[in-house]
Amino acid sequence: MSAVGDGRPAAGDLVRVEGLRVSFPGQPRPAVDGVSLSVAPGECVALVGESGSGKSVTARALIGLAGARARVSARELTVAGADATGFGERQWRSVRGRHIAMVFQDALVALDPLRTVGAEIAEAARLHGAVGPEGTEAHVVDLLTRAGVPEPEARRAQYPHQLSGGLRQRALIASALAADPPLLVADEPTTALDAIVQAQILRLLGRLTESGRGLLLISHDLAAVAQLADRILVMRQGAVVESGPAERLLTNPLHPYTRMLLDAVPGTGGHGRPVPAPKAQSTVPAPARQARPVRAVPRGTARTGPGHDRVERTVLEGRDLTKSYGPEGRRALDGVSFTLRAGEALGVVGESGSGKTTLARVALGLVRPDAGEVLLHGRPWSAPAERDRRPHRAAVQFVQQDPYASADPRFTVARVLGEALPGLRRSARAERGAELLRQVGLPADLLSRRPHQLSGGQRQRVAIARALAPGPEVLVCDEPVSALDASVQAQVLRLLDRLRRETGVALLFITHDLAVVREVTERVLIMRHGSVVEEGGTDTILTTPGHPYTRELVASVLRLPVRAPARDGAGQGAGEPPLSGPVPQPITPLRGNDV
Amino acid sequence: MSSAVTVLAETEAAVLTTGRVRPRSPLLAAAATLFVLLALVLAFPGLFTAHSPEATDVAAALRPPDGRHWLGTDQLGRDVYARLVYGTRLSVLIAVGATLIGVGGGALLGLLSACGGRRVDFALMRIVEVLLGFPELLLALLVVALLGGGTLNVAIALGIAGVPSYARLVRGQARLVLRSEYVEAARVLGVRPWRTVLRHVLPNVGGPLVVLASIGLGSAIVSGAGLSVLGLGPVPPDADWGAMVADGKDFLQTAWWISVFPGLAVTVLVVATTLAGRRLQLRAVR
Repeated sequence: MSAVGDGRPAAGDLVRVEGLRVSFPGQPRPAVDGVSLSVAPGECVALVGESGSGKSVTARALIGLAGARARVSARELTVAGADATGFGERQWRSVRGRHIAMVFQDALVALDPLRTVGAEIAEAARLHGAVGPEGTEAHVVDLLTRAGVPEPEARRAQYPHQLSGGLRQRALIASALAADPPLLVADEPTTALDAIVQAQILRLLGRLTESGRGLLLISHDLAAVAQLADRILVMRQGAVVESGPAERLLTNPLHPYTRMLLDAVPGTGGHGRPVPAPKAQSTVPAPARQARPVRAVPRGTARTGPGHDRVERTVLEGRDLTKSYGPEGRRALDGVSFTLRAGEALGVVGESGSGKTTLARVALGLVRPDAGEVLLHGRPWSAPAERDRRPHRAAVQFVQQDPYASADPRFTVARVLGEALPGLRRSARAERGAELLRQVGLPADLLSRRPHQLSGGQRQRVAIARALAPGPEVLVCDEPVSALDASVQAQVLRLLDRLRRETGVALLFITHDLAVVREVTERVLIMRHGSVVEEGGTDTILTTPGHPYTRELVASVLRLPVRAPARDGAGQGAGEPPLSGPVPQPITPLRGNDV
Repeated sequence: MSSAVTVLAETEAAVLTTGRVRPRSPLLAAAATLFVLLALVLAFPGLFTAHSPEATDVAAALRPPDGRHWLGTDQLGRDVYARLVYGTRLSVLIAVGATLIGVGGGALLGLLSACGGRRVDFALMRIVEVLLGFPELLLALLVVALLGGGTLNVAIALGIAGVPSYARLVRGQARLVLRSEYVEAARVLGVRPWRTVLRHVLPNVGGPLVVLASIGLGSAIVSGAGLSVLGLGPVPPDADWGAMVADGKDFLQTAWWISVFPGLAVTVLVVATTLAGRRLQLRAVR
């Protein structure tokens, strides 16, 4: 308490770090190596990088939360105007919340499930002496109001699980604001949220910086960051590869890695098919769900992949599918119909809770619909008993969301693939396995590896290879890229697209991401509350959305500013030069982080 | 300033070296040695003592430990050390047998419960819960009362008493695995259910089961000895360690060595197996 004055730093930065280095025992490389950054009042600085780039560790080191085993050092670390290089845990505690507050990614985990959000926020406020006992209630309501929570009086008394994801995130932001800290550190604050809510939270954070607060925004998502950041630092393998004013960096990136990240943002430059701004933009709140599905394109006119002779043949068809869960009978599916033709890619887009995953599971014959049926080649698929369906299962295969969970951790890649190749002799199986790996762009020597020895992208490729092994006609992909880094996402999407063209497999592609659907599908269903609100050609729907909900969805797609054509290595005069190697200077280890 | 750099370098070096070389617990090393010794005792008890465990010598009854009888003699003049060495076999046999029966039965019940549908699960788990309500020893006593005493029956009784907790573990683990995405993937591939159980469920349940069993082995040794103390174990003249403790109970004032040394043996073995079990558990967690 003594080390940090109560007054804010008279001038200059809220936080300033030079040559930050964080390493963990047992790791060959430091997690963060030579990162320098500062945040001034009213400024939003974004730290962008893929998983493992060290961006979160950097943020945590700035508030003394790098972890017990972390070794943290820096040439300079100034927090709230005080030298924090020698901070102990007590001093850090006096800084956290009061001068710097943190907003975490997952509000459901970050909020205490046993306390009302009001109690949570009140504690944060009282802890830092922001209010006395009498003023607490009014203060909490005021904070919730500032965080954009509607009906703050009522919400205050609710528990985190009673709130939607967006409201939870707002409550978390309110508790971070409790002691009125001049600096907020937000670690992936919108990653767990649906697109529309994400846009709202980003606007809220933007308002906070406009009111003079500093914001350090950590994200993997350049498109999200582009909405807010004044300056952007791009991190890779623990080091900053490029930094500069947001506009310059986004429109005229100098470092190849930055350019690669920008290209990888789905629906942008990469393949020359950016999501266009909708022509009839509207922010009308989504209306009643009874709205009838709008068919933007008559059936059968969708342009398809390679062979037009295949167009007419329907492989998988769902008729009036209904499925309820739980005692109250929450309708996950409410009269959904779809047709998937041979070789076609059909997207199913919706936010969490829209029923799209249930649709995938029904299409796979994993869940039996309460009413309606799924037909495979015109024959019953969802109705028969599992025993009778099993012989035909090869025709409909599955690519799951989480590549980290989709393979038995005890299995080698060879066994994972082998399971999909029954009845083959050992040598034939190995040969076919290698061939499958080649098909998904992996070297054959991965066959002897186990899942934990592979990267996320490699695992997803293995999962795709497994799904291809039985020679399916339909590949149901449930959010196949949402667990992957942006650059890997783009690769996997291209792979799926190529495989469809090569093998003629039809894709039923489930995603929450309009930009992703744009990359791989030619027709799309928009789902909401278990119903299809709109159906039609992907391009048509994205450019001229008919249903108000679709319009809102399309409007919430985050866009990057239009970029200047890449001029290799040339980026004269625009902003700061990229940071090069660390400047050799004395280093002071920070005690506080070693506790 | 430059000293700060060297301090940092030194701490980093220390971190690197300690990170690689895991500190070895001397207790664990002792436990490992003990297991080797135990294996030898089990295989070749004759190597460890020249005395016969059953040779009585009334003239030499109730002798305290000395150079000839290392751990003294009992009321019939039998060598306590020799009886301890030969008794090892029975004690370990009961414990291992009980654990195998418990694990086997538990795995079967647990898998049935996890895979057998809602009704089977409900019925089996209610039974398991009732059984878990009784202390294990009490349950074992009940079974012994039904089956009668003796080495085999004690092992069976303890095994049955252990079934509920193993069943619970297996059911929980199996349900986790059955809900996993890789089992779902197998289902989509058309793999038959029993194959899924063999290939995915059993191997993935096996790890935690082995860990629990190795810890359970310790308690089986204690419970086995406990039943033997009550006279329900091996039939004389055979004696496991528990029976030996019981043999000496009338002489505790005058000849403490008859009971104390077998009791110590039980303690040491239990501590060693528990240590090893915990170690396995830690490795499994990592």
